[in-house]
Amino acid sequence: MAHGEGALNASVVAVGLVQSGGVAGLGMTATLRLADLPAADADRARGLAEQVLTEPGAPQARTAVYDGLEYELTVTCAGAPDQRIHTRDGALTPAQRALIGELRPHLHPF
Amino acid sequence: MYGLACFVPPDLLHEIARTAKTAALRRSALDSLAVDAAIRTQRAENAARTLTVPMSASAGSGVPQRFIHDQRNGADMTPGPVVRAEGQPPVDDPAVNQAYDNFGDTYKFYWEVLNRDSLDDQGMPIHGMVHFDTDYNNAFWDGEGHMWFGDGDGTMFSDFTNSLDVIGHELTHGVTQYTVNLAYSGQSGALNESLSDVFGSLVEQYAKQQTVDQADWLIGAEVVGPQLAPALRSMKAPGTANQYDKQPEDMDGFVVTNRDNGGVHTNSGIPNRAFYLTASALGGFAWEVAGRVWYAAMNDARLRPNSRFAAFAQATIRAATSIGGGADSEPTKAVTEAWRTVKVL
Repeated sequence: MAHGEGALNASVVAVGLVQSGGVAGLGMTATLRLADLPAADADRARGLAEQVLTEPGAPQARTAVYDGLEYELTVTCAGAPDQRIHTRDGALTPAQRALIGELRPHLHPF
Repeated sequence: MYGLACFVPPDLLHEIARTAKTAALRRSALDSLAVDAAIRTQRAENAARTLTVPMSASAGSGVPQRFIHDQRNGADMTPGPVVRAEGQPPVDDPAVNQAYDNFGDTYKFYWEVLNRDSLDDQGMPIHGMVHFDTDYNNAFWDGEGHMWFGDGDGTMFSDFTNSLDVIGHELTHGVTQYTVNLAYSGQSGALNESLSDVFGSLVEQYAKQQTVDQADWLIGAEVVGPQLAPALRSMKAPGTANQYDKQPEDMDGFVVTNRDNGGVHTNSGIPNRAFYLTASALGGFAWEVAGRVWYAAMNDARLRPNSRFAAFAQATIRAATSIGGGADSEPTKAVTEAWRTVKVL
């Protein structure tokens, strides 16, 4: 498939992540525009984003996770307000973890 | 009116209160939230009051109980197989051995300096979970006896088992849990973070037998890549550790934010500097007086899980007065002046 073709017919156009906390306390951010990705990567990111938006949240950890990372995932769909999901280490669903894994290599500090 | 069970998580109660279709249901959710908060606070206070007096050295074992697990780069938080247990020889994996050795140095500090037998002062086993996740740029304490280590991505961060002060930092979260049990948000959370930096730094200084002047007062220098060099934080000069360091040096710069549990890693710079200033004024080995003062403050029965900077400052003054031999003693003066300098008092 051509570069970005997988994103053409989808409503999800971008996914973003703001990461905070951790032992470093370092704020980091990344945004992936699906049109800029190879088709297979775009399809995978879109599928994960849709899963993250529709799945029930994971149960919270029983105790505080000290120095755990906090994540603010943003899913941007064409013609709709951004949707945000807040989650953290110790409370990640598999889909959240996978989507964060897609975004992690693109994180940069702010 | 009917009550909602306290087993319902507070997040769900908040959601019910926000979206309830009837006033009665909304009121019930709010009532349950109030009860829930009271119970959680009481539970935290009870935990904080347990074992507040350190046991004498002769009462404990003086031998740590270390277990290092290999998570094999999985992201699941189920403990992996134990690859090195207490007393076993080194293995081929440096991360395993570093975690084991640095756990040992942290235990040794608490035992030899503060007569504390592990995190709970009852010889609690310490579990290290190495190779957690893939390229995971972090290490954390899960509140249930496990420290989790990422390998780092090799660019921004490297293997977190390599840093003694980071390991001392994480294990001190466990000590804080079993002493003052500070809530992990806002000012109490920043205090919690600061205590971890203070004792993490002291663990390293004790292992290297460094005086106040010889210590670097940096946190995480061994795990940062060039972009974050030279370190994650500076206790001596908050806000200068790297190009992204936003820690304030006093209350004028206190940061209000919703992220990072209310800026716990940012505002910790204020009490961190208070400790550095105290130790610097007293000179010598920082663990001998300043460290003991801070540890006694952690065990001060007047502190609560939601205590703020000012309450902790007063606790350190009480501790300094007791340890130093009076209100006019050098430790008391040093502590008071330090908290004034960072504008907490």
